[in-house]
Parts: sequence; C-alpha cells; structure tokens
Amino acid sequence: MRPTLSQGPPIEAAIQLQKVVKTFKNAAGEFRVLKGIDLTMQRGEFVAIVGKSGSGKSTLLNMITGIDHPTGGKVIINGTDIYSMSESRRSLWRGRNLGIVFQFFQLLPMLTLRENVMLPMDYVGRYDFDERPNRAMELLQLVGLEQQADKLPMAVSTGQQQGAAIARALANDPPVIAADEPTGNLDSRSSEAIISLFEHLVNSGKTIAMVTHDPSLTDKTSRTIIISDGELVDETVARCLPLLTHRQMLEATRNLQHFTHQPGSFILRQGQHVDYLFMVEHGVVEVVLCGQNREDTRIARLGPGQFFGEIELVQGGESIACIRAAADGPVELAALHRDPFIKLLGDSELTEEMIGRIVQTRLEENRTVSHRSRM
Amino acid sequence: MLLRKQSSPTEPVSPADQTHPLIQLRQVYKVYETVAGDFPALRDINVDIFPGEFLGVIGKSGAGKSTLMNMITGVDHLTSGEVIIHTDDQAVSIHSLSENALALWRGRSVGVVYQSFQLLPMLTLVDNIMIPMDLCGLYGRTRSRARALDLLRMVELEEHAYKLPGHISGGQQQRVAIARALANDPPILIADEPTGSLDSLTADHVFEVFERLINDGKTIIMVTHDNSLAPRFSRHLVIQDGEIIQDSTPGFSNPGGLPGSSADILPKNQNLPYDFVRGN
Repeated sequence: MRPTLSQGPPIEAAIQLQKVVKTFKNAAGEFRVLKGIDLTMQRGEFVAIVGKSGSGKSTLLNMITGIDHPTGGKVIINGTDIYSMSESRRSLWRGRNLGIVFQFFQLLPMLTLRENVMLPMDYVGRYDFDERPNRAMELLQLVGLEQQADKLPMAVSTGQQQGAAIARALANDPPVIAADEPTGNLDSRSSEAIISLFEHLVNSGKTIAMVTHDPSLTDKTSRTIIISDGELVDETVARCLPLLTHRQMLEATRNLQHFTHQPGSFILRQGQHVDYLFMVEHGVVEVVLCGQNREDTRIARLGPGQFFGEIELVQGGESIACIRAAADGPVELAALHRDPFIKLLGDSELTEEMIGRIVQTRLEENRTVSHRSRM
Repeated sequence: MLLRKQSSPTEPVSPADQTHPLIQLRQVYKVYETVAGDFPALRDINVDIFPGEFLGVIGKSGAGKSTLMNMITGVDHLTSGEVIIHTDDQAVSIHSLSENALALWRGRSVGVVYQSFQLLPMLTLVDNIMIPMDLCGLYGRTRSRARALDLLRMVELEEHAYKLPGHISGGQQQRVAIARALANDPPILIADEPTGSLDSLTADHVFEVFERLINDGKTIIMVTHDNSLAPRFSRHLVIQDGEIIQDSTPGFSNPGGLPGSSADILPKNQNLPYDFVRGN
C-alpha cells in the first residue's frame, strides 16, 4: 500500500484487505475471482462497492463477512485478523462485530420480526436475557416498525422486511455493517428509506460497506470502489475519467504510475515535454504562467479528481504552463502514460469528447489570462 | 438412532393410523381482498390428516396449496372454518389461539422446510439448527448442541457441522433445513416444495430422509407442483382453484363419529362434508 497523506493522528482502519485472492475450482479448471485485492476502509466511511455482474463484488463483500473464505491474503477488521480463527469462533466474533444485510433479507419466516431481531442477541449473549425484547423493540422503532413487531415477515412489505433485517444487523451494536445489494429487491421509495437509514448510521459512527449495482446510490455514499474482473479500479482514475467503462478504467489502473511531490516543488516547467496525463490523488497543484519579466500568474488550482497534461498529450506539444505542488502540502499524482491514454481515447468516444471539451475550455482560459497578464 | 428412540414401538406408525386424525381442517375458507374484488384462495376445505402419513398436496402455482400450508402452520389467518390439531393428547383449534400462544405451539409442534432452505448464511450449520431450540427453550445450551449434532448425523452431514451454509451444496443445505425443522422434535413436518430447487438425484436424497422420518413416526405434509411425485407419497391430494379435487385414499369416506379428544371442540356427530371429487 502506498502511504496516505492524511494529517493528524492515524486512525485505525475499520476494514483492511491485504492481497486477498479468491480462486474457485470447477470442472473447467480454476477461476480467479479476486486477484490480490488491497483495500482499506476507515471508520465512519460509507463505501459503495460497485461492479458488473460477475466482477467479483459480492465475493469481495463475502471476504469481509466471512461467508466465503479467501484463498490467500488477510482480512483485518477492527484490528482482528478474521481468518486466523476457527469457523465457530469467527461466527461468534461476527455476531458481535459485524451486522450483515442481504438482498433477500434472510429473515426466518416462522419467527416474528421482533424474534428475528432478537436472534443475534440470543446467539452472542451481549445483552441480558430480560433486556433483549426491549432492545429489539427499540431497534424496530429506529426503522419505523414498532407497530409490526409481532408480525411474521410474510405479513409485512418487502421494504419493511429489509427494515427488520437491518434492525437485526444492528442487534449487537456492531461497528461495521456489510450490505449486499440491500435495495436490490425494493421499490425506489423503500430504497430511499433504507439509504437514509444507512446515512443516519454512518453519522452515528458506523462503517458501512455496501455492494450495489445501482449507480444512483453511489451519490449517497462517501466513497465508491469499482471492481472489474476481480481487480479494483484506481479510485482516482474512476473520478477523473468517469465515462470509461469499468474494463477501460481497469486498463488505465494497470498502466498507472504514482508520483509524490513535496510542497511548493515544480512538477512540470513551461516548455517541458509532457508524456503523461497527471491525475491528482491527494493535495493541490497550482497551474502557473511563469512570467519572464513579471510576476508569475496563477491560472488555476487543481484538487483530487482533477487532472492536467491532457492538452499537451492531445495536441502533441510542450507544457503551456508551469505546474507545481501547492505550498501547504505534498501532492500525490496518478499518471497515465501517453500511449495507453491515447488508446483509451480511441476506445471511448465519450471520454474523447469530454477531454476535447476540457481542452477547449482551458485553452480559452489560458488565452484570456495570458492576454490580461501581458497588458 | 436419535429419532427411533422417541417413537414408542407399541404405537403403530406405519401404515398410517386412520382412526385418530392428527390434523383436521373443517370448512376452511380463505378469501383475499384485492382491489379487483374478493379472491377465494381456499373454498370449503375439509381434510383429515392421520399420524404417520406422508401426504402430498399437489397443485399448480396459484391453486391454493401454499395457502393451505399457511392455514396449518397458522402463519396466515383463515377467513372462516377451523384447523384442529391433536398433539400431546390435546386438541387445539389453532386459529383461536393468541399470536403468542400460536407461536409457541408452532415452535414445538410443527417443523417447516422451505424451497429456498432459509438457513442463515452467517451461522454455522450446527448454530442454524440450534436456533429453534434456543427460542423454545426445551433444551439447555449444551444439550441443544449435542442434539443439533445428532440431527446432523441423521441427515449424514455431521462432518460439515461447523461449516457455513454457503460452503455446502443445495441438497445438503436442504437436509440441514430438515434437521433444523426437527430441532424441537415436532410430530408434524411441513415441506413447501422442498425439492423444487434440487436436481432429481439430490431430491431423491431428501425423499430418503423423509421416508426415514415417516418410519420413525413423523407426519409429513409436502406441497409440490410436480404431479410425477405422487407415487412417492402414502397419500396425495390434488388442489385446484382453492378446492381439493382429488384424494388418493381409496374408499375414503365420512368417518362419522369423531374421536373423544376433539369432542369438546367439535359438536358430536357433526356431519362432515367431504366435497372432493374422488379420482375417476
């Protein structure tokens, strides 16, 4: 893992996957579903895991829940290496530390909603026997189902069933919630209710990892992770070039180089040959027209998710401005070399259009600024 | 084996005891109110189910067979009529029980097996089987575990006891679900399309388990849409448009007088209608 540049004291990660590999065997041979996943989720993050069907997103979540086991690598949740223990101990650990929400709810049909919510409490024994019915009721209140507490799952709507399943996931007050397509079986109104409930939980300090194929949900999450063909797409690539297909993003990810620049240092000088599309991962860069006789003129500040170098790559020229790391902190860049970049533009018409528009806008801005600075 | 010990050798369990019904459905109607008007899902159902029967309820999708099951388990309310179940020398009209009493009764008297298994994916097999025992409190924690392992042995899955459901095959999951349904040693097992998600070979394995349970004195009611399964049951009913249109019991007729145990619930010598058309 590359070092992060977050300021302040280090926060213990909620979830860490280290080189996680998952291989399935069948008659046709071995199939690598996860190809060495490195991933860290901080406490209080609401993370969407997205990917096409068959990309490995549910398998990835199952590595976190322990419902499936990695073939290689480590999964560390709240400091616990969860595959270093037996299945029974892991079950107990999971009961205390992890709430799981499934697409098909997985409520037991013969039990009332309240009994379903009490199940994990009975299993783990964190709360006193007498306390459990009341706690279950409080959780059902939280999801707006106190009136339905004594009904069986089949007597309530699917949205309400998922509400009860979330209440059950919260039974032992776990710090981490893993949700697999929690809205996949719900109408849009019920989905919204579930997502605002998740937002509420995140605000109260829970960490949520949610697999979804619904891009509209990713607006609500604090972070989106894309998985394609068993590998994670670089998050900066996904932010900077959102119009690429997941597979193209992955191609870009495989070709990335990473650079770090100290505060105030130059990244590119005016007139220098440019060979990369530079995407800002952390920190801020300044785009500056270096005056020969006069003061430098700052044209723009670019933060995470923005990029530079595209003008020169598209037009085949030298840098039209100086780029330097802002004085207030170091900068991390993800850089994509000219050849894969040009190839991607050829493969993705939408991205080519987007880059074309950006080039045009920026050139106009440059002309205006340099014209003004010469006056 | 675990279950053989529990059935007394003096009790004739096979062939089915046809004098003292275990379950009686009396003039059961179920009408769903929909925006398009009332929809009768069950119409005047009258059936006696006897101990030790392996009863198939066969019908197409929408025929009312699952509704019929829900009437017997009490998870859905009937519109009129009565379901009387004779267990522990008591006759219980289950739809007159309170929700709580019904839940408790159900937990001890009926085991249910679903098409989609309904095992909790985050719990090991042995923990899944222990759930109903924990809820009913019939056994202590240690005995629960021992019993869960016994039940797993009965369905030949003991070696997988500490695996999660996702790590075994569908047929194996269904056998675990059967073991769970037997957790509180209920006299009645209800199975809703239990082989519906399984290939024929694994389905056979499930039937073998059911047949063993019948020999051990259980009563099994199984719902299916597949009428080719009819020969596997000791008796089968065919349900269509909410009515029983066929009962395989040959010469089955009005039993007339009812056993004493239900006398306090049903009026004596009530003439019970059996409206079904006998197969011809």
